[in-house]
Amino acid sequence: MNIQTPEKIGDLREACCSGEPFRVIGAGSALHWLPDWTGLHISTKKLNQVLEFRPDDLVIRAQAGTTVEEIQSVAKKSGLTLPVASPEFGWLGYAGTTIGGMLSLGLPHYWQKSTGSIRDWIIAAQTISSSGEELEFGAQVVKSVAGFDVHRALVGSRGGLLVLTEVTLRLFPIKLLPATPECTVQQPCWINHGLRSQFNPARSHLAVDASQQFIWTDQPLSNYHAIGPAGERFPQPSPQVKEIQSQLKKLCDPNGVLIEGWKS
Amino acid sequence: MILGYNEFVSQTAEQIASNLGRIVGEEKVLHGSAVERVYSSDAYTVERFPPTVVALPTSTEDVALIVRFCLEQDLPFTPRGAGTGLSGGAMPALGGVVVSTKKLTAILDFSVEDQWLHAHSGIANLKITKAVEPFGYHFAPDPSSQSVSTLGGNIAMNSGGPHTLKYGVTAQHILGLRYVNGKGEIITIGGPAGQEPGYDLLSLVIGSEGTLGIVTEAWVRLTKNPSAICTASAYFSTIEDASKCVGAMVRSGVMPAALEMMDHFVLAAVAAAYPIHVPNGTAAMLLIETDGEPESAKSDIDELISIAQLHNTIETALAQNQEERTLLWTARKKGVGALGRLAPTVVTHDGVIPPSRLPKMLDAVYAIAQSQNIGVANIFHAGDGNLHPIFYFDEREPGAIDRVVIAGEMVIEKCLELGGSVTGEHGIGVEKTDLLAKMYSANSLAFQARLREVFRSPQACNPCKVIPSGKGCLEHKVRWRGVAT
Ligand SMILES: Cc1cc2nc3c(=O)[nH]c(=O)nc-3n(C[C@@H](O)[C@H](O)[C@H](O)COP(=O)(O)OP(=O)(O)OC[C@H]3O[C@@H](n4cnc5c(N)ncnc54)[C@H](O)[C@@H]3O)c2cc1C
Ligand SMILES: Cc1cc2nc3c(=O)[nH]c(=O)nc-3n(C[C@H](O)[C@H](O)[C@H](O)COP(=O)(O)OP(=O)(O)OC[C@H]3O[C@@H](n4cnc5c(N)ncnc54)[C@H](O)[C@@H]3O)c2cc1C
Repeated sequence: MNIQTPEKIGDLREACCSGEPFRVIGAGSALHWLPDWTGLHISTKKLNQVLEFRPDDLVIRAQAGTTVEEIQSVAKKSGLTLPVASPEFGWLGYAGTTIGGMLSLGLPHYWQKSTGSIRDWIIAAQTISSSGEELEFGAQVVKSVAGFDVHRALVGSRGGLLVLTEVTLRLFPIKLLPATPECTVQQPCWINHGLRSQFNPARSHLAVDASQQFIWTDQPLSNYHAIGPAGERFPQPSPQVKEIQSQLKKLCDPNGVLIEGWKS
Repeated sequence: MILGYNEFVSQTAEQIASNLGRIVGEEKVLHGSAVERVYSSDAYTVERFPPTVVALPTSTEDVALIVRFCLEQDLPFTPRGAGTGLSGGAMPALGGVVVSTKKLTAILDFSVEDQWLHAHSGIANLKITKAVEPFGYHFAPDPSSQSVSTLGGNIAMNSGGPHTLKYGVTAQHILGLRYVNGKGEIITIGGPAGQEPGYDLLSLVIGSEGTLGIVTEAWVRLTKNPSAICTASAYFSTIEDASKCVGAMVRSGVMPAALEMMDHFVLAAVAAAYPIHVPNGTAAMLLIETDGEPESAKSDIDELISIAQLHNTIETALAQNQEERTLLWTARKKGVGALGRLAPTVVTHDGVIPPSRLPKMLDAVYAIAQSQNIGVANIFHAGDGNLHPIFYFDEREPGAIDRVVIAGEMVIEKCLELGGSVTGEHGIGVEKTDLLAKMYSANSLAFQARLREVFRSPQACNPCKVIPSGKGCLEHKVRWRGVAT
C-alpha cells in the first residue's frame, strides 16, 4: 500500500491535486470497514497541531491529523471535553485515531442520547478539494447561520467529498457527561438492512445512527431482521436522494479522484 | 408606497391568478393591491417588493403543481411561512409567485414512544409543542417568534432560541423532510428514523433559506420535558459586570438551559407594560435557567447564582413558582415588542461574538449608537454570544435610516473583528448578502452558490437571496430600498 504522509499543508495540497486517485486517511484505523482500495493513500497524521484553544468560549481549533487523544488532553486541562466517546473514556478503538478520521467516519457513540451526534460539535472546517482549492465553511463561534453548513455535511462523508485540513470544535464540560456510558457495548458491526424500531435510539440502549448504518451491539447480527412484520426497513436512499448525493460528489470532486468510503 | 408592475413578469396578475387557479383551485390564489402590500416584505421592512400573485397550497402535490406552473411561465417563486423573518428572506425579490404555507398546517402522524412527529411545514412552532405537551414532550427549538413562526421557516433559517444553548438549533431536531425542488419534483430525505446512508443532505437543506426548494413536510425529533426547571434573575449595576459574569458562567462547567441578557433600556420598556420588578440602579439583568433532575437543576442554579454574586449584583432572585417564571420569560419574549414604546421605529440586528469578548463588544455597541446619534437597546442570547442590538429611532427624521444602516454595518464589522459571525439567527436573506464575502473566500462562496445545481434549484427559486447570482438582482437592489416606507 502506497502511503504519503505530508508534513506541510502545501505538500498536502500538492499531493491532493496530482490527479492520481487516492484515499485520504488519518491513522488508517478504520480501513478494514471500508471498500477495498490498494492505490495511493494520503494521510494527514503529521498535520497534527492544536492551533487555538479558547476554553472561555468552549472552542478548540486543530489540524485534521491531530489525535482525538491530544484534543481531549488539551481540553481536559480546562475541565472540557469533546463529548463523544474517546479513547480516554473507554472506547477500545485505536488511540491514534485522528479528529479528521473520526469526523469523516461520523460513527455513533455511546453518549449520543445525551450529547448528540459528533456532527453537532463541529462548527467550522478548512478543506482542500481534489483540484487543490481551499474552501472554508462555518464560523469560529458556537452559533452562526452564515452560509451553508457544508462543514456539518462533511461529517460521515468518509473521505469522498473534500479533504479536511483543519476543524473547529465546540467543547462540553466534562463534569456534565453522564456518569455511566449509555451504551457500554463495544462490538462494532455494520448493518445493511434492519428493522427500524430495533435501532431506534429512543427505545434501545444501543448507540445508533441510521445514516451511518452502524450500531454498537453485543448481539449476533442474525438477531437483527432485514424486514419487520409490517414491512419496515432500515431507511435506504431513494433513487432521487442517490442522485443528489452523486451530484454533491461531482461538485466537490468533479474528476472522481477521492476514493469513496461508502460500499455501494 | 408605490407597488408596481415589474418587467420580469410579462402577464398581468389577473391572467396569472386565473391560470394558476385553474390548476390548483382558484380559492388558493390571491392577488390585488392588499395582497401585494402584505406580502411585499417579511419583518425586515426596510426592503420591499410586491409579489404578482400569492399561492396558498394545501398539500405537497399542490406545491409541486405551483412550482411547475412557475417554471412553464418563467415566473420567479418565493417560499414564505409566517413572514417573521428578519433579513428579507421571504420578500419576493423579483416579483412572481409567493408560495405561502399558511394552509399547510396539519400534524400528519407522530409517535411519542419513538420521539418523532411528522407535520406540514406551515404549522406554527408552538403548535407542535402544544400537541405533545400532554405526553410530557416538546419541540426544542424555541425562537422568540415561536407562537407564529412556522416549522418550514425555522428549518429554512435553522432557527435558534434561548434554549439553543443547551438543546441546539433546529438542525439538531430534524430527522427528515419532504420538499419540492426547483424542478417541481417531490423529494424526501430521511424520515422518522433519521437520514438514509450516504452523504448528509439534511445539513445542506436546513439553513438554506428557501433557496434549495420548498419544504412541505418534516419529521421532527421530540424532546422529553425536563423533570425540573429553575429560573433566576440577577441584576447588575454595570453592563460590564453583567457581561463578565456571562463569561464566568460559560466557563464554569455548568450548562445553563438558557442565559439571556436585557439592558436597562429594554427593562424600562418592559416594566412599562408588565409588572416586573427591576431594582433601582439596574444597568443589566441576566435571566438564568437550569433544568434536569430536581437536585441537579437546583444545585446548578445555586452555583450560577453564586457566580453572579461574585460580579457585584444588586440583587438575585430565584423564581418561586410557575407564575414568577412565566413573568420573567414574558419579559424576555415580549421585550422586542415593548421597545416600540421607546420610538416609532425599531430595527433588530443580529451578530455573534465569542462570549468572552462580550464586555468589549457591548462597549462598542453603545459607542456606535452614540456616534450615529440613535438609541440602542440590547436583549439577547448572552450564553452563546448571539447579540441583538436593537436600534430605535424616528424614521421621519431626515437621515435617520442612513445612520441606522451605518450603525448596523459598524456593529457587524466589530463582530468580525472580534472573531465572530455576521449572523447567528436572522440569516443572510437580502440584508447581508454583501457581508458573506467578509467571512468566506470567493472560492468558498462560489462553491456554496453551486449547491443550487446539486439540488436542481434554479435561480427562480427564491431569487437574489443568500448568494445572489441571478440576473436582475443587482439592478433590483435599488428598487427594494426605493419602495421602503
Ligand atoms: C473496538 C472499537 C471501538 C471504537 N469505538 C469508537 C467510538 O466509540 N466512537 C468513534 O467515533 N469511533 C470509535 N471507533 C472507531 C475509531 O477508532 C475509528 O477507527 C476512527 O474514528 C477513525 O480514525 P482514523 O484517523 O484512523 O481514520 P481513518 O481510518 O484513517 O479514516 C476513516 C475515514 O475517514 C476518512 N478520512 C480520514 N481523514 C480524513 C480527512 N482529513 N479528510 C477527509 N476524510 C478523512 C477516510 O477516508 C475514511 O473514510 C472504534 C473502533 C474500534 C475498533
Ligand atoms: C419578534 C421576533 C422574534 C424573533 N426571534 C427569533 C429567535 O429567537 N431566534 C431566531 O432564530 N429567529 C427569530 N426571529 C426570526 C424569525 O422568526 C425566524 O427566522 C423564523 O424561523 C422565520 O419563520 P417564518 O415562518 O416566519 O418564515 P418567513 O419569514 O416566512 O421565511 C423565512 C425564510 O424561510 C423561507 N421559508 C419559509 N418557509 C419555507 C418553506 N416551507 N420551505 C422553504 N423555505 C421556506 C423563506 O423563503 C425565507 O427565506 C424572530 C423574529 C421576530 C419578528
